Amino acid sequence: MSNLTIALAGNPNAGKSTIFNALTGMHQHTGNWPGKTVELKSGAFSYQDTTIKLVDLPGTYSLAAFSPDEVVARDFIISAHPDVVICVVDATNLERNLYLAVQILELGVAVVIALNMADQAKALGINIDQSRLSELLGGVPIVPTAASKGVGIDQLLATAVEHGLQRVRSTHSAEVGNTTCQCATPGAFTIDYGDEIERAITGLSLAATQNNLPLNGYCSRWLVLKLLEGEDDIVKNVAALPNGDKITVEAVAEATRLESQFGDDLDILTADHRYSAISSINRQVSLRRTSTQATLTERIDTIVANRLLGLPVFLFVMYLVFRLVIDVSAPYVDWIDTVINGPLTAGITASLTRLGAAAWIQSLLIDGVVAGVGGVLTFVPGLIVLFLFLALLEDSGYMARAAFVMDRFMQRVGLHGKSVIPLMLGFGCAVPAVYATRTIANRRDRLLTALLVPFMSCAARLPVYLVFAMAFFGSKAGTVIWLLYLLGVIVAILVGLILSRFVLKPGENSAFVMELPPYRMPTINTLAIHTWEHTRQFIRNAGTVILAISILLWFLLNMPWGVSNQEDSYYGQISAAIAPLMQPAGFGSYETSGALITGFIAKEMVVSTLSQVYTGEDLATNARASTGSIGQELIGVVIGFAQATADSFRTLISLIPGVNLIKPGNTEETALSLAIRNNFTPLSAVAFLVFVLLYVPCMATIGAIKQEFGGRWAASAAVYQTVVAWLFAVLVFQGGRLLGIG
Amino acid sequence: MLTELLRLLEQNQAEYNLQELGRILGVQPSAVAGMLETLVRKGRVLEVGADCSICDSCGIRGHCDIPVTRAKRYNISTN
Repeated sequence: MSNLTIALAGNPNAGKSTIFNALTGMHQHTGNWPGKTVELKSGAFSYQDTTIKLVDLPGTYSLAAFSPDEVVARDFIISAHPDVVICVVDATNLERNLYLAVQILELGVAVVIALNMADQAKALGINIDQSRLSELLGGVPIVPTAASKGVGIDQLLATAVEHGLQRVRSTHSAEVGNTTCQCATPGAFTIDYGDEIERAITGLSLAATQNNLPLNGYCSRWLVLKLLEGEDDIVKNVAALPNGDKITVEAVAEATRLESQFGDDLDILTADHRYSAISSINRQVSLRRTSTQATLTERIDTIVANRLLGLPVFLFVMYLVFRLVIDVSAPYVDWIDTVINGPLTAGITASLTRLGAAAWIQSLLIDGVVAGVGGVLTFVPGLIVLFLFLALLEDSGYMARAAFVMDRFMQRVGLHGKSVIPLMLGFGCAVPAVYATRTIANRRDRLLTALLVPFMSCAARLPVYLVFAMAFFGSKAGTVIWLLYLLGVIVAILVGLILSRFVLKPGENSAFVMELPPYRMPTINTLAIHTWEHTRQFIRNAGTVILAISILLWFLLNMPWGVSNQEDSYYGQISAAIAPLMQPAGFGSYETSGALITGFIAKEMVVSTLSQVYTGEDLATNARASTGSIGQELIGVVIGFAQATADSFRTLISLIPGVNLIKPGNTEETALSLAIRNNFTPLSAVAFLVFVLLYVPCMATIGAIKQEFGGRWAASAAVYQTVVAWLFAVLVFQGGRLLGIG
Repeated sequence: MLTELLRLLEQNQAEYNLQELGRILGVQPSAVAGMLETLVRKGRVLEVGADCSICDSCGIRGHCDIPVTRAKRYNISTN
């Protein structure tokens, strides 16, 4: 009965653990490598008359000792002297996986390569000439496997055992402390590092032999190479050996000479030779795929990530999203509005009347809380649909392409490509987007990005767009909202160019590379979690900030106590002070000016405030007029929901060209939409939306800018954005009037 | 190969994805990823984006949408 220790090495996700589990079954043990927190799993089993200990090394891409995983993997192979190392190589990514394989081969140990996922590689049109690969790797045995299907595992084990036993018996096998090199086997795999480096390796190897340097299990060629590369722990270990310091000093001198000669670090040069050797091997053993066998991801990316088509595709995708947001959510928005204005308000009023609540308490709850919070919650369906589609784009992998395309565009217009990630986050919420600028190393680029983030229309602004667009633009509402988002991006670019030119002058730009993940089918679970997380935050905000401000606003609207005209209330007086400034933009009433002030607290408050100001009284009146029983109201709510679902579905189907299932006059209007139509013209509504899109971001965002860049920049951001918003709103309104629109 | 990649990135102020670089260098995109990792470790290239370690200390990490991109991003190091 003989004993063998087999180590299992490989890149992460190459299928190493699957092979380990297949070979060891339940006989596994987990422990730490001495001095490291890295886990090492091992298992013992018998094969024929051999007892095998199989050790699953950490998944690594190299043995370069940059991470604890790599150190443990490398030290195990060197110090624990496994009889054979099975290197699991992902056949679909042969070139990358060979980097680790050649490093293990360079250690001079016995290796068997498991060419895993061979079936998937074949399906992708990648054919690998295994015998040629074996030949180029110094005769290493190669076993094709499909570990997930259990294919090739038995042959892999048999080959590893045979190879390991051969190695044990081999006269070339090294003894610890011996100066004989393990890799001295004739025909063993080596990489040609070029004449100069090879001369240095030979010279230092000779010096090591002449100085009787004990190798302690190291392969001399590999050891010398690591000394030349200046790998810290190897240098320290060798320096501690008898005569080791002489070798290390010589190695440093040689490395310095070579680096000066080639103008780069020696480990970069050796890695370069390794990659070139691997590329050459890959070219010789891999039959190239034809373009017709390109993966689905590659085929999609030829259009989606294309230099010319990428941007139009992105704009079209976003147009579709906003069209769907409007079309799918509109029936639900109507339904919630009906529920809030009907049964909910009636129920609260009836309950308060039964409890004998004072008239002012009824007014506070109905005109303040229900109108304020309800006015915002009405638009939750729109946000749910938006978040759902954004999650769909994100989880499918498209958002990475969108970021890449926009990145490219940003560089074209002179802005920094790195700004794209925070800017895209700004479409969700500007606060995390401002913090996300931390990923940008240069302060100037960070600051510029943070100043532009608020122009990306955040989700809290969507209810404002929805209520106005649905009031004025009917079936074109989706297009109007999409144009608003687009305007935000365009203004950000223009302002960015101006700031870059005059205020924050750019440094030198540099290249960047993006790793685009493969497309995947989004899961319902992931979509639900993403959608819910975002919606929950919005609803929580409605239940806290908006509720509190709605109550405060009600008091401002009703004080001095008993004031009969809103215009004379504190709200009216404060709002009237800034209203004249808004006159040139077409919305100079005290109602809208007040809504813009509360919008500084949170952008949803614009809708909430307008709801209170315009519909508060009507709500109370409608509620008192409601006569249905609770049962009838509930049945009405359920029927209304079913009707909304049917309408939404019909609208969705009608998006198919040539299909129209929408009933004429099907869409109802929310109470707020009706009120807004009575107080705005289409032109002043557009000017108002442009102002809301661009003006000072909410105070949480200003707080984030202050925290990141100081109070001066936060104040500047608040002022310049409001000025930009005012200029654009005036331009839209006055320009429209000159053109005879509205 | 590695020095060719580094030279390409240093000399061009352009933007690439791994597939494009793979085509330029005549290697698999995943091998380009490996080369970039090597350069990141050497401090020659910076990895930014979703995996940026600066986010670890961020108080609102739980609410952050950075994984929107879910893609690793590399820039030439200016250090």
